Amino acid sequence: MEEVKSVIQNEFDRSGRYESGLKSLVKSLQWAFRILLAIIIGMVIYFISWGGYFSVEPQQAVIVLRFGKILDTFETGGHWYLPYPINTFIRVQTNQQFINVDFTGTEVKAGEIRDSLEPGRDHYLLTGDANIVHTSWTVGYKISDPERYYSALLTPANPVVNNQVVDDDTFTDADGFEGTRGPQTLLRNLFRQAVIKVTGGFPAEQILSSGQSRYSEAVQREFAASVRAINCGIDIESVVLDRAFPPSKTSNAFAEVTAAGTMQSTLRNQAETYRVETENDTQARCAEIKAAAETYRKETVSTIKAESSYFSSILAEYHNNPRTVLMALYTSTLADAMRKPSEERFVIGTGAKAGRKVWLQLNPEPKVKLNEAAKKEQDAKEK
Amino acid sequence: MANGNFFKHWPTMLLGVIVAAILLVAVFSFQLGQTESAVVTTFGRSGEVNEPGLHFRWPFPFQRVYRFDRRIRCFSGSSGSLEETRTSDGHNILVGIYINYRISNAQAFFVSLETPTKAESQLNSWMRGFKNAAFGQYRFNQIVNTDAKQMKLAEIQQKIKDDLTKQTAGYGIEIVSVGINNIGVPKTISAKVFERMIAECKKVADGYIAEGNREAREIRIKADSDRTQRLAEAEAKAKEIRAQGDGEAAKHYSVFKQNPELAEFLRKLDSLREVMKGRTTLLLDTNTAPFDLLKPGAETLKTVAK
Repeated sequence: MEEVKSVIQNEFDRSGRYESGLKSLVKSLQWAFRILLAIIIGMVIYFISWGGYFSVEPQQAVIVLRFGKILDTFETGGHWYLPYPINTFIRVQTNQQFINVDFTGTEVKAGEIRDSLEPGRDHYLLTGDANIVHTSWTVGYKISDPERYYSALLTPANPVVNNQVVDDDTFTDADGFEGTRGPQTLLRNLFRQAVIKVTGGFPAEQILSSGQSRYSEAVQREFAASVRAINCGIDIESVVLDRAFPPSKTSNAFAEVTAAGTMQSTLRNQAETYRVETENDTQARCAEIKAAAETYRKETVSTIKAESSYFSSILAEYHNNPRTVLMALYTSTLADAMRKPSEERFVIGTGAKAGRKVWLQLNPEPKVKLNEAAKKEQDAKEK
Repeated sequence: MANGNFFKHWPTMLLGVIVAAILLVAVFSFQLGQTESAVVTTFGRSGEVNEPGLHFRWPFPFQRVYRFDRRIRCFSGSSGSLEETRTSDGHNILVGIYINYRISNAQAFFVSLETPTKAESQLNSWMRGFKNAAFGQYRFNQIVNTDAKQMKLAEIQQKIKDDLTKQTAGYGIEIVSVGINNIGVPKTISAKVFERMIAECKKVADGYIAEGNREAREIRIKADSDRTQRLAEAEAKAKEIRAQGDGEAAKHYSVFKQNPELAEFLRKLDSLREVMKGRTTLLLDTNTAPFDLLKPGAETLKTVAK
């Protein structure tokens, strides 16, 4: 300081008029230099300490570039490299990511029924039988090879942000996605192509009802194959068909088809019920017929056995006294028959030569009739 | 004294050296990324650099560096995606296509097209032309068809790709793939498609009902037929069983041969018992025992008295 002071006094300010100003200037420069030095020291400290440190998040991978050339890729842990501009750290998202792709019309959002679809405004698919359907999908994908992904596709400077590649040159696609030239735009287009191609080979009826899972699987196969062909380090994890539906104008007609399908099942089920009932009834009836026949067989045999036994036992007595035996059997049988309580009347008539007739009521008056007579009598009394 | 000053001011000197080195490196070098190519122009002459890393260059105005990213770009040609394309059999359709392309030769690209924006403008125009030309060679049922053998969508895409590849060969562009990202029909046609879909739905619905009725009828007829058949079989079996019973019973008839009259009489008595079980009005002559006792004169008694 003293040296500077003497130089100023001897060389520039012999009169001493500017001494105070020069002193201030020198002091300012000294402070500026100190600040600059502190900044540089700070930068050096930062440079060799946490400026080059990074830790890899579980759902990310970090690619290290040295002067732009890929040096290494890390999927776990904390690492230190000399920072920018020597090394650059590129973070890539490696967990599962989802994109939604819709082939739907504005009518779906507005809830209207349109007589036709406006190209560019309404989005739809042409089916193999030249019909129109709408579908809505969710695609799950994963970056399995971050290095390949970064090298193959025009990722943003920060690839974790997928939607910003070329800010000044975007367009909006059917899903309202601001297209770029980057990975998500590519995936969307590949997916749209796969869906268009597969849908063009399926009839509408199958897409809307019976063949939905087959249709969805075919789209996934086609899409995964086209992504593999690009070889961009992306694996397709899932393709889910969220919705498949006909245009609103035709939805009633499709509902009728569904109802008719249900009706067909109902008719078939009713007939099946009839078949089962008939089968059961037939089974029972057959069993009944066979049982009756079996009973008949047993009864016939046992009856004839009993009769033959009875006959044998009577035959001996009959040889001794035929008339008495016959008469006894006959009268006994007749008496048994007559003794039975029933409503029937037995009219006993005399022989032709007898000259008079005898009518006998052998059985008592039935109880039912007696009761009816008593009731009538009571009614008459009440009246 | 000089040496003393040098050691005294070494931090200042070091600072100066560092700053100067940084400035020199910044001015006389450029970094090229792994995914980039650069075109370096020296007074109008251009050269291509593809190797990633740090490269030397003369500062402006001696040399200029133009960088181009070589990675795949997905570009949807917006031009013509909403205009009608005519198929070979006269159907009007609307097709949107996209391409995946990359800059394969930065120097050729830079010389012919200069920037990606200008390149895409040119690509857009080519895509439109080749798309219309390709679709014009195929029938509508080769674009959508439930028969995979007749569907030629992949072939059409390949044709557009081939045409574009041929066209862009001298422009430093590589066409990686071409695809269709939108396909539709004009507004008026979509209305007609709806009408046809409704008519088809009705036909399908009627078909379902008719088929349901037919199936139900078939099931019922078969059930009835099975029933008749099984009952007939059961009756036949029953008949057989009954015949067996009768056969077994017949073995015991030989006993009755000892006295057929008595056997006949006993059978009649049994029959009488059976008949009398039901509602029967019986008219008997008084000559019939035991009612002959009721006859005038009681002839039977007389007989007994004698």
